[in-house]
Amino acid sequence: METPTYTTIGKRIPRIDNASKLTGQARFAEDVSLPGGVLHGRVLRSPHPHARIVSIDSRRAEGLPGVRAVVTAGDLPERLIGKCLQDERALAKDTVRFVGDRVAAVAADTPEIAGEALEAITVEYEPLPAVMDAFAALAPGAAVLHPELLQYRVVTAAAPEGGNVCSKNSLSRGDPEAAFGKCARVFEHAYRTEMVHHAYLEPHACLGIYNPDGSYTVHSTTQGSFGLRGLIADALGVPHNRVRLVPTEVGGGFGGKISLQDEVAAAALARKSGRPVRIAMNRREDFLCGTPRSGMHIAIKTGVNAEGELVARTMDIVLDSGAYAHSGVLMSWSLPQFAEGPYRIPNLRIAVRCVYTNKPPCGAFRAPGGPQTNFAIESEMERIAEAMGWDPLEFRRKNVMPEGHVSLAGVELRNVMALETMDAGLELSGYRPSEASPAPNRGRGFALGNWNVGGMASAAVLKLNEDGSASLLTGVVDITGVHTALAQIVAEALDLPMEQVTVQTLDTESAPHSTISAGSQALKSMGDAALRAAHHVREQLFDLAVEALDAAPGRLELVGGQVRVRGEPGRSVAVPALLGKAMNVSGPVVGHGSTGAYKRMPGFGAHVADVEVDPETGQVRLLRYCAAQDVGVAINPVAVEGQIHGAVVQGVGMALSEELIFRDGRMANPNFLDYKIPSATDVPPIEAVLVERPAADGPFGAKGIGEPPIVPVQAAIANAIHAAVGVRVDTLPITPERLRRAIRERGEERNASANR
Amino acid sequence: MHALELTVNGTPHTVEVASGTSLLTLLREQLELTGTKRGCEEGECGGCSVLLDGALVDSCLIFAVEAQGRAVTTVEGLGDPEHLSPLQQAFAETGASQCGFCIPGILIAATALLESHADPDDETIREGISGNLCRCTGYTRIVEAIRLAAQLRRSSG
Repeated sequence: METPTYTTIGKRIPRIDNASKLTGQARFAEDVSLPGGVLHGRVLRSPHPHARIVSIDSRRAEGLPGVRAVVTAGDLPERLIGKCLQDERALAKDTVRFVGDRVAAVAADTPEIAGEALEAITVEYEPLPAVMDAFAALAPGAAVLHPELLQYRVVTAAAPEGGNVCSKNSLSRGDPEAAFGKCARVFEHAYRTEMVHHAYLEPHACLGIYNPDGSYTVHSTTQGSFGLRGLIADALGVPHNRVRLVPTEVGGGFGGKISLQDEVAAAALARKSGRPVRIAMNRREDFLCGTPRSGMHIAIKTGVNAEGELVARTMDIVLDSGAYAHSGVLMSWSLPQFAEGPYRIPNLRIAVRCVYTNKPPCGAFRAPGGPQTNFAIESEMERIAEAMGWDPLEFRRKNVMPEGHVSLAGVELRNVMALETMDAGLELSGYRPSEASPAPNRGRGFALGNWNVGGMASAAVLKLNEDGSASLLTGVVDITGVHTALAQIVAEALDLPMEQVTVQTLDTESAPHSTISAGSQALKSMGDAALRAAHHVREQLFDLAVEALDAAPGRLELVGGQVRVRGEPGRSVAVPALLGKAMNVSGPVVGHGSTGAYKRMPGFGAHVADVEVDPETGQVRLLRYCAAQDVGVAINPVAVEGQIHGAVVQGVGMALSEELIFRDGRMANPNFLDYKIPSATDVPPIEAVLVERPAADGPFGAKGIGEPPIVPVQAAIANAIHAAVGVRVDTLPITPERLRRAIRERGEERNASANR
Repeated sequence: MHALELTVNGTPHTVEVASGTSLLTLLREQLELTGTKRGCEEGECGGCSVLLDGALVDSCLIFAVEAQGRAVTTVEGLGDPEHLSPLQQAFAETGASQCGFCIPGILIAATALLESHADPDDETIREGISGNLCRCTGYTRIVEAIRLAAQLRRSSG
């Protein structure tokens, strides 16, 4: 098949927003200012993990000079909201269920007065027993966090069971129990991962405005303006078109900026005070109220035959889902499909329970459930290979899913690049399992992971200006460089230079629906919509040119600002001339494109980590990291590589140092000192190689890239640690304390058996 | 309230600040220079990095009054969209900025580093930006950009 030559697709084009980002001109949510100034809002958040609200008295706060408004649940329509399961309120009414749960909000002339006002609100709480662990929540007699669980409205994905199980689901094929009985050997282990926070550098911030016509305008740092707009409108009790959500630049999202945070409070304060109100979280609040990655317990049982095949597996997954279903509950729908990982297993059951606890409500975080389950799956592959005396790479190759593998959800998976990606990762790193370690306490580890990327629905409008330059009207938020890629797509399709294509993020009233800038599919989804819009524009130009060129549209092409007859470059008419003609005939040329949800396809990653362990302290130093990723076609390779670098380092944090620690019901480390994310001295340069084969669908063959690279990181590092010092820690993060303890216990075991 | 005179990006300012106002708040709220970011207000993330008489500091940890009679440099003083500095150009060419939130602080830290190191190796560069957290880029391209900037500075004499 001939590889097409492109003008902009596949080129390393610099981001179109570089000038604004590199000079500090880019406006993030807290930077948004208004001519008349803004009021400063603060939210009163529950100090208890679980309590009944007996009374709220805000009179003293309201009376403080400089306080302009105070709102509570009573200022909002009585209704429950939620993206998947409607189990929460914008401001708590009767019950608070985690430290940080919103109880009231104030708006004042200065942040200092707002802070004083918070302290002047008297809330009488009746503390209730707090459940801080998923298994404790499942135990008989545990406090029930949502007594009305079975009355809540299910919007999507959730399948509440009752008690503290906010969702339960399982999928299977074959008969694992029967198959285990026939296996050469069966392995059983349990893995555990702790809750981790996105730790984007920009805390949540928003600005609420109540307009003279009774509508609202809300500026927010969000990855998904349309979903957020809907939640805000629902909570305020107004139709969607009465809330204009203006997305600002986003200082990192990773899934943590999809949910509703303080926007409803800001909007209600704006209405009550008559002034715009900014609510900007401080770092502590953002840690408390963010929507972290669920902690997970995975019981995994695997049966193999003597031929090296995976025959049967069961995975029983318990997710610590936090205080509300939020979007963490989506994992009960997705994990039974995705947690088969890169392999094809003929007898398989994956069961998931999402459990309420009095912790922050969990949400989406870069491949939700992926790193956790891959940690289990890829640790098992190495353990099994070692026990059976098999080469671990051959064991994987034998069992990877084939092209067209049908997932547990019945989806046929296409563009399966498992083997190619493995080869690329092994070539880049030079890794061979049998190689001797170059020094004591050094080792290399491999992991193969995949994440099913797809696309959700988006629409775009493309208009041509009179001179033939183009403006793409889109609501997709640009964090990763997607706007540059969209400009590349339009420039390629209409043969325009990049400077003649404008892409801006518009608000929810100005742009048609956009998918979220999350889930590895913004580029694919909005890119497809933009491409369709460009084709629609081109079609209209051809129709306008038919008469002038005396040729049917099928014989026409668009090149360098001219519509011309293919093969006869002399017969052409300039685009501005056609646009001028259009004004008198069919009207302005506007194109639109709409794309529905795509079927998911797997994106594979094959990673090799090189570590050095200090056995005395348990500290792990990452010496080298190689990542091969299967990307379809990289529309902008710089952006794609950047995603891989960033995802890997974020994954390193999850592997070695990040966890939200809770003591006595309270988060003990809501700050960057005690919640340690990798700094520049903690990681080496990340080496990435892109494996490209055009995906069957998607603009120019692109596939999603945001999430897949984080999936294999923890297992690659865990496997490297095992190669280095011969121990495994089956809990993430593999902190120095945990590793040191494991090394000592192994030492004590050896001494004990030596002394027998 | 305290009267305060300071120079920011070469421009003298006379302002009044309330007790306890941080330099960060003065820059962002009163002088409307919002390029410097508020990431943690605890001196952990480096988003608020500025140069104070050429020294790299976290402006969230400095009281505004400590800047009395001193010169502050923020990202706005490094270049503007029509005239990117060589350092900013190196970042643009390398593709070192993703969400952009950490970038002002990182550019300030890099500026301080390059003033004292004409030819820093990777380890020195990483040490120089170790007080600036980035969650998007994994630091790989940022380090490449600073190395390129050092090269550009050396070749332009």
